[in-house]
Amino acid sequence: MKLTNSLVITGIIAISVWGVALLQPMPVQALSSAHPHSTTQKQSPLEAARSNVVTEEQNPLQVTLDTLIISGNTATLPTDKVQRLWQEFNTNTALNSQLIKQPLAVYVVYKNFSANFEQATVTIGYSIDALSSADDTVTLDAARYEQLLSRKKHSVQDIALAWQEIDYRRPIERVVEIHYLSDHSAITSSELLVDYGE
Amino acid sequence: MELLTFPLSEDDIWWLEVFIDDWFLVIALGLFIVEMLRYACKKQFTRNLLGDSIANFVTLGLFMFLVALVAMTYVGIFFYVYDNFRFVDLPLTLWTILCCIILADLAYYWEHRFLHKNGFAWATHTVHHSSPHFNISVAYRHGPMDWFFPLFFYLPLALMGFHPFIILLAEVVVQVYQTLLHTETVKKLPRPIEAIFNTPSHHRVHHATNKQYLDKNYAGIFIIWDKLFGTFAREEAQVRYGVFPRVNSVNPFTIFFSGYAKLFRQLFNAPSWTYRFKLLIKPPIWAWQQEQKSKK
Repeated sequence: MKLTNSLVITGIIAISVWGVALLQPMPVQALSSAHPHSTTQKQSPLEAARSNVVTEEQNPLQVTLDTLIISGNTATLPTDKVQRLWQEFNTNTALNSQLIKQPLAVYVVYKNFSANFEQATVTIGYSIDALSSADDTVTLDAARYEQLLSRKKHSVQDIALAWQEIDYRRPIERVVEIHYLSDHSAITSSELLVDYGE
Repeated sequence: MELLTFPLSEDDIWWLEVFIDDWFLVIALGLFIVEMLRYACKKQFTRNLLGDSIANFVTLGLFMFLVALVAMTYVGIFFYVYDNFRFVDLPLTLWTILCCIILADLAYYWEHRFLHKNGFAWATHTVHHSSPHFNISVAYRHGPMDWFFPLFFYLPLALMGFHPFIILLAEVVVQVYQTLLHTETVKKLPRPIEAIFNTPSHHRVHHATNKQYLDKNYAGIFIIWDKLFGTFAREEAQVRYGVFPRVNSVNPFTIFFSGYAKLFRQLFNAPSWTYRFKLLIKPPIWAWQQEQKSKK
């Protein structure tokens, strides 16, 4: 076989094997948005039934989030540098090795905002329900949130725009992004909540 | 399936690589002793065989010394490319490792083919081929630049999102498999194995100086690459090992530098800069053909 043909076939084989490698369920994978971020990762098909967010029918913009304990990566950093934390989260193999089942969602919690909102303490993690053990946990007490994005499939731009709808004149206790995940490491839907702490 | 996708840590991968690397050397030394006993029983054990084998292990020591000097840079390049330029994230799982081993084996085929087709690369690889014997110690007969060329062929794997530790593990698996092929003790394996995998029989052909066997059987683990790309030859006639001209020495330093010493002599005596360039780029057979022409 001619060298050129051999190289072409090599390329086809390499891409095919690479494709097989990509076919496997991905433990964690991040996307990034303009301001906030979204993620992908594997988990069970039961997720839809198991959201701990309860929408109050009287006011569609108000939701209650039950007490939630998450474990993952936490850092205080400029909010435009959150991608760095995503990278750490994506490569946190210790966390992934503690997974006892596929997590239902990835939670991103922003709190302790600086006065100009350029910095915050951010935690990206899973609910400890999905983990065999958890060392550093962050507890979100049950609270009422204003829902800036309802739970459905949103683009990165949608999420970024929703951040701009936050009323920065009011005291912000925390902002929570929830990214619900499919069996095949795809984001099925996202939700953006803000607790004004009033 | 769960086993294939169970997430591993970087430490797990590194541990596995070091474990294979270290313990396989112990196993290889055991196999080497068995081989030598077999030669002794057949009254084929000679002083030259012993000297050549010792020299092989000394070249391994010299090679390891050079590797120690460049190891951090070598691994650092993989991490730099992986951290900054990878296309996708592949998880640390057995699934990923298996895919990486297949791709690393394919990369090895091309690297190996390149080593035989480029004058500068052949100058280091010729050391491995220069032994007139064929036993497991020959697998450890290294040249001074053997660490250099794999970099270029395995680096695309980092771009494809394979973690550097997985790539290094795959390299080790391919090398370890290859090591086992350097033996005359095993004749032919069952036909299905001979059809798919590289075997001692296929690799004896690769080390041969017989004309019909030249530049054949470059494979690491899977012989299918050679069959696919038209570089396969079956072992039929008795194999004669070594290279031309013969090194005729069991001095490990002479052996270790023999390829580059010869190349530098050729470069020094070259009639022109074009000729020098061609010596570095063209296959080693080109230099031999030029020498034959000039003798006529």
